[in-house]
Parts: sequence; structure tokens; C-alpha cells
Amino acid sequence: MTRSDDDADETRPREEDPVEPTDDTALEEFLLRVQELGQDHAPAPNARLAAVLGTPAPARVRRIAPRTVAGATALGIATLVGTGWAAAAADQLPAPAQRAVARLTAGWLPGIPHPEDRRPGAGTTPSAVLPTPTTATVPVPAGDDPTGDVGTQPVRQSVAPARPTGTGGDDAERPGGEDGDGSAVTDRGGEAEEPRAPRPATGTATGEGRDDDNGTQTGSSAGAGDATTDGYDDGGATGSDDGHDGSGRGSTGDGADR
Amino acid sequence: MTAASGSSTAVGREAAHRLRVSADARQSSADADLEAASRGDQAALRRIYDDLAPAVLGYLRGHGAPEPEDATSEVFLAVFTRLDSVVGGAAGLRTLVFSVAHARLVDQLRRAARRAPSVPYEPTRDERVAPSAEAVALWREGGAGVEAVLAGLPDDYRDVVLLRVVADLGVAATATVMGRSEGAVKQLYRRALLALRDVVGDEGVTG
Repeated sequence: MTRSDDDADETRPREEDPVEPTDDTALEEFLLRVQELGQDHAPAPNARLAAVLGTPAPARVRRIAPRTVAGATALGIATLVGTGWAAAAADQLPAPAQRAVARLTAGWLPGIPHPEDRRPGAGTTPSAVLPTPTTATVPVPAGDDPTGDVGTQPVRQSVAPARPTGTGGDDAERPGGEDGDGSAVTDRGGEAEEPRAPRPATGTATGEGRDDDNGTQTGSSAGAGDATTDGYDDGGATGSDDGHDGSGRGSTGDGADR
Repeated sequence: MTAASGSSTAVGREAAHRLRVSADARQSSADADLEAASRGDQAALRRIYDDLAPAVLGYLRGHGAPEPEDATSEVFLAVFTRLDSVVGGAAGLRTLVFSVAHARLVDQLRRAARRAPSVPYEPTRDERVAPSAEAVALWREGGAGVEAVLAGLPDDYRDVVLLRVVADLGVAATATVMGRSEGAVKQLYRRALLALRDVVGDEGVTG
């Protein structure tokens, strides 16, 4: 190619320019191969260009679709499992399914209480598990008993912690306790009538004859006496229990009296 | 010039005439598309993209650009915002498209050059001077070694060959894209062809 050829190049149509006929066929072939680089199909536009062109971006859709499907599937499975779990926890599944869930939880989740353990008749009753007030034997001095009929028989009383609300407490410091009218000892013990569950009598001691200077019987004795007759404390239990508070404090008061 | 080469030149000119007729029709259609695209016609934008994107993709591939498909989309995104500034109809649009592609490529190469790791120079692995013997051998055996041979050319040689052959730009448009004079482009193209002839030509140097 000469210089004049180059000048004439501008006058020829542009399509003639790229691969000019040369003496070298190998070079022509190579240039034709180079020309083919720009003769492929148009590539798929990316998402931004597809939006400009107003066409969907198929490549991007193909890339996102599997993730969308996987996410929707995971969400569906999670919802199903969550609903089933809640239904199983509420015992609302059909019996076979509930048993299957129970077996599953018993076998694989040992920390979760087995449903059979929660049935009322099976195993240990809750009342047996609940702590009961501790009982103790408190000897009552015979000398304090004006009647002397029960004397030194021990009185089984509950020794639950004294409640600070008892008006009969600190009798020794109260005028009633000191002067021995017993009203402080009577306090609310015998009058309290809280509903209580039946409970086996704890003993035969009546505890009567709590000592008051004026000789009146007060406190829990009536309840304890009932316990010996019907075997259950019933109202007497209430009297006994609360009477304990009164009597316990009354003892202090008695001591002060003595 | 031999008789054989003279006959091939005649055939080439005959084919060029046929191409000129169809090119005129395409030219008017492309001008109409450009006008419609300037008004925001998405169908016209799509036709422009379908017409020019293959050449842009080939140009970027010939330069070994990473992710040439995405880069092609970015080029057209930049061009479509500047359609109002196009002068010269469809030919001007083609020049603008490859100007943007060239600028992006230069930026990419500069960024890559800034981030290039520092390694000791090994002359045997320097592919800037001439295509590697492996690429030449692949080409001679008919393998798909076009891009490998192009990669062995100096950047300016490769650029002018791709703009003239793949982008189908004339000398003036190529000069505009490369930012050089037309004379410089002509000389550069001639040297590039000579370099290629040495590599792949019938009388090329083997190995």
C-alpha cells in the first residue's frame, strides 16, 4: 500500500476500508476474523440499560429466580413448622400426631416435660410436690393449763414463720398480754376463717387451756379439738393454724406474765 | 501488483458498490432511529443498541476488557443521555459510541496500571513487543487465536485496527475517537498492518 492509496482511502466508501485487499491472503484472512469479532449478536443489556430500553433483563431474572424460589420455600417451611409447633404445644393436633410429637420431644428434647407427666392422675400429684408447712411439737407447760386435763401433752403446731400482722403478737409488751386478759392472745386466730383445703389432722393434742390470767380459753384449742374428732382439720385447721400465731406469741406473753 | 490481486480488487469494488446501496438505506433508517431515540422512543433506542452493540462488544473484547458485556451496557447508558448532542446523524452517533467506549477502556487500563503489582521484569514474558509464539502458532494452526494475536500488538496498533476493522470507522472518525490527526491514524494503521503481516502473513516470521 502506497501513500496515494491512503489518500484515496478517504474517497472510498467506509465499508471498503477495514479489510482492504492485500497481497497477503493470510493477513486478509486474519482481518476478516478480526471483523467477525464485531458481528455477534447484541449482548443482553444489564438491568439499568434494560430499564432504559423498556425490556426485561432475562439474564438477571434467571439469576434472581432461584434465590427467590429458595427464599419462598424456606419461608413456607418455616411457617408450617412454626404453626405445627404451636398446635402441638397447645395439644390441638390430632391424637396420632400429638403422640408422635410427644415421642419426638421425649426422644430428642429430653429437657421438655413429657405430656404424660402433666396428666393429673399419673405419677406424683402436684400437691405432693408442693412444700407443706413444717410441723413441730411444742410442749405446753402443765402449769399453764388451768384445767390440767391435757397437761404436758405436746401440741403439734405448725411453725410457719410468724406474720408481722398479728395483733396478738408482742403480747408481753401489750397491755392485754401483760394484764392477762387474753384478748391479745385470742387475736384473730380463732376468728380467721380462710378457706383451706382439707388436710389430715396432725395430732390429737387439743392445746386447750391456754393460759390466760383470767382463765378464759382462747386461741387455737377449738380447732385442734375438732381435728381429733373428724380427722380433718376443717375450720379447726384454720383456727389451729392461725391460732398458732396467736399462741406462739401468746407464749411470749405468758412468759412475760410469769 | 499481480493479476490475481488486480482481479480481487475489482471484485472488492463491485461488492463495495452493492454495499453502498444497502448502506444508504441503512443510513436513512439509522438517522430516523436517532431522531426518534432523541425523543425518548424506547423502540428506537433498542434498535440503535441492537445495531451498534455487537461492534462495541467486539471492540472491548479485542482489547481484552474484563466483563465486556457489562461494559457495553455502560457505554450505551452513557451515550443515551447524550443523544441530543450528536452531530452528523448515524455516522456521528457511531463515532460518539466508540469515543465513549474508547474513553472507558483508557480509564480502565489506567486504573489497572495504577493497581498493577510490582514484579521483576522478565523479557521473555514481555508480550508488548510482539505476539507470543504460542499465539502465532495457534493462529497458524487455525485455532481461535485472533484475540491472542491482537493482545500481542502495542496498544495503539491494536486500537487502530479494532476501530477501523471492528467498529467500521473511517479514518476521520478513528482520528476523532483516538484524539489524533488523520495522517497519524493512517500511518498508525499502516504500521499495524505491517506488524500483523510479520506475525500472521504468508511471509511472516515463524515462532
